[in-house]
Amino acid sequence: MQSEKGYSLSTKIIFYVLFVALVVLVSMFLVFEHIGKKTLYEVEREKADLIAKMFAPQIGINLYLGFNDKVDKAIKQIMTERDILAVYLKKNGEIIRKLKRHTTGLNGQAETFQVQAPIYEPGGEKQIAVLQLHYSSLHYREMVQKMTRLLLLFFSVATLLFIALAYQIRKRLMPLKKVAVALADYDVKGKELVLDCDSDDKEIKLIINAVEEMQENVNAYAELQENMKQILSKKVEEKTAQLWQQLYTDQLTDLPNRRALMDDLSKQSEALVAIVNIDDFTEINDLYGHRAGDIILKNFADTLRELDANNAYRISGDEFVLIKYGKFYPEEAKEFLKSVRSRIERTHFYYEENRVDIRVTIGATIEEDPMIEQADMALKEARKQRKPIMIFSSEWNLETRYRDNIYWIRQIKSALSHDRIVPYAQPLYDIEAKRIKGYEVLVRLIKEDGEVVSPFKFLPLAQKSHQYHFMTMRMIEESCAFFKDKKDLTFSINLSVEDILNSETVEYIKERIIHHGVAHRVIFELLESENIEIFPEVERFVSEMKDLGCQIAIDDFGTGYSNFSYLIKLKADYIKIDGSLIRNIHNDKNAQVIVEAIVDFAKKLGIRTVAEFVSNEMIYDRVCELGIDVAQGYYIQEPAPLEEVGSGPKSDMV
Amino acid sequence: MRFLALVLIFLQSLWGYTYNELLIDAQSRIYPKLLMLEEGIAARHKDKPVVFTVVYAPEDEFVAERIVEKIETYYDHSLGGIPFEADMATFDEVDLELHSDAFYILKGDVEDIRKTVEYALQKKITVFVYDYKDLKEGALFALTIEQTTVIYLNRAILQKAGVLFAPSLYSIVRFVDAE
Repeated sequence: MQSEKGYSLSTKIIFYVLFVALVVLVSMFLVFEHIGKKTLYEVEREKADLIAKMFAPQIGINLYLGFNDKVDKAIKQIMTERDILAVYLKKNGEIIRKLKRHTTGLNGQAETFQVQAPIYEPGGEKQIAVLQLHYSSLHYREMVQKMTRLLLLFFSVATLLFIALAYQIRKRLMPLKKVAVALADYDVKGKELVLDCDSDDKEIKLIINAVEEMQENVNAYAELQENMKQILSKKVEEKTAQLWQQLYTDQLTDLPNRRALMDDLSKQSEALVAIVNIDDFTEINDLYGHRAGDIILKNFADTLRELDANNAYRISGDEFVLIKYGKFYPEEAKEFLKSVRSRIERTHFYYEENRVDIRVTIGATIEEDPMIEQADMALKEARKQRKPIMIFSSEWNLETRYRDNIYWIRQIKSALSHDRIVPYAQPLYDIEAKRIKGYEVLVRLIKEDGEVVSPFKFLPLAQKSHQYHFMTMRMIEESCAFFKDKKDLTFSINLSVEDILNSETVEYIKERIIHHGVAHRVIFELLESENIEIFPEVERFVSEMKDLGCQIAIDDFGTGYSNFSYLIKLKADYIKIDGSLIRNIHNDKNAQVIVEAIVDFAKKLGIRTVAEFVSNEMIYDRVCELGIDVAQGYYIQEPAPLEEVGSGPKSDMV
Repeated sequence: MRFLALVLIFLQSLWGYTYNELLIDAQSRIYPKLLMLEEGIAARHKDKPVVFTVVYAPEDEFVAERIVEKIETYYDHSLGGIPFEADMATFDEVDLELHSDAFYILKGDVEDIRKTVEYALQKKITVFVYDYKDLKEGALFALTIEQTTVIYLNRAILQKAGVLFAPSLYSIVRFVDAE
């Protein structure tokens, strides 16, 4: 059997046997031929020598006795030997007798060899002549040919014997080959291995027996492996199911999770999908602890399960999703969601002895994909509008809004990297002194085409996209750098709660105002927002800035989260009355009343007031009448690049 | 001289035996050499010459002298490096006092020949005869000229005499058994 990488054992053995045989036979052939030739040559030479020696005494005695005729006779007698081609009798170096045979086919010296025998005087040691014989090599050649033929015959026979031996080896090893072939096709799962390999050889029988025994062991082992495999397979299946269950199930509530939701939604095109968010759930955690929060969440999940919905999911900490399959009209959906909310809010949740009432906000959609995103938008809109339930409507045009957001975020990044976030300044007009006492620095974004963009378009997005910090730093640096030389002017910079809560921004502000020496002329306008006074960081910031000599103004005062208490708490130096009050002050009695109250209150506390949005003379006059200290607005001057600072108010106003 | 020799041979024929001159010449040349083929002869004659005695009947004295002359001419007192002398003696002079290594017996009375042979056997003297018929009287060697030269060796006497010769000699002699 020939394997992929080499030859079979039998082939190798046969090859080696034949190789060794060839080497041995060729060696033997060469050796025997060499020895044989040499031996034959020696034999022929000995024979010639013997002839010479045999006749030498006879010739010697005849020479001695002077029987020349007998010498000739002896020489002729020598010549009767067919291999003797010539006889020379030499005495003292001279040929005294010679006899040559006339032959054909013999080519002189090359085909003869010479022997010579000394001829001594009979009974003495005196050499009297030399007998020289020219001996034919023909017989020698014939013998060599015969020997060569014999050797070749031997070689042929030996070769045949070795081939027979190789055949026998191959035949004897054939059972092993059959075993190998059977083993190569052997499959423990298949039929039992049948070794049809009869052999008389003990060793082969032993191998076959060993293979059969091994097969039994392999079968037993395979069976064991199969059992183990089944057990492992079962365990793997169990573990996989467990992992899948973990992958698709919320561990706390045992509700399906977001991944399961996405899978389920991908199989449905018509459904009511509602995200149910627990309002102020962090307060529950803060108040009762996270363990209590977890218990409430579990109970909440149980409540959701009992609702008339196809499935409930937990997709994040306090957000759940309800799915009700089918086609819904908005009113139907709203009725269902109301019932859900009602059911939840009627349910009393308990942690230990404490009853916890839960309120929820629900955002839902009955539109087609992307359902979760739409429900999420509806939830955000509901929060924004402070409504408990909102159903997504394609009329909201939220996608356009999102596209706008992406556009503006890109614009902000581009402007920041190309120094197109620039400060504009709008004068603050001191009504009593009748002069511009300072400027409010306002941020502007210059688009690539040179268009100046108001912050209302990009500031909220800047705050959400983490670009706000960089914009603030840019405004701080450029404002301080510009106004450091305007010694008679103050300048106001707007700061949000996010700015103040960012310690890095605060440190930067302090460092820059000290660096530029503008602390006594800078006014930080804090944008009024919900619970601004509850942050200790804000109070600390105000304190530190005042220590440096800075002043504090509360922006947009009078609407929203207006609270007189924090004016005191934050030690405000200015109140900037919200523009919505000023804008209609000349014809809105309510606005006048509110502004009068604010101004009155401020004066009593020693806080100066600023009227924004003074856009015409009537408003300006009314502002003056109400005793407001500072006017700001287009009537005084529009916001303009810093380069235009110092140009003074509009001429008509003056 | 030749004429004188012919006359003498003629005269001798009147009262002596006749001899073949060619045969005498051949025997004169060859018999001494055959004698030198005896084993041990060289060793025995380091200090003394080999003596080759021509034994003859009184009436053949002249023939005997001529034979001695021939031998001396041929070998000049040396044969194969060994001192060699040719001598002559009548049948009657052959006795125990005679020192010789070989007898070359010419024609003679049978009794004389026989007696000489007996004497030679006693003294281990090699006997050559002119006439090969005398081999039957107990001589060891004879030489004839037939179609070729033939040396006869009396095997019975060889055994009796206890003399050994160079082996090659046996290959060229013709053996006879005569006693």
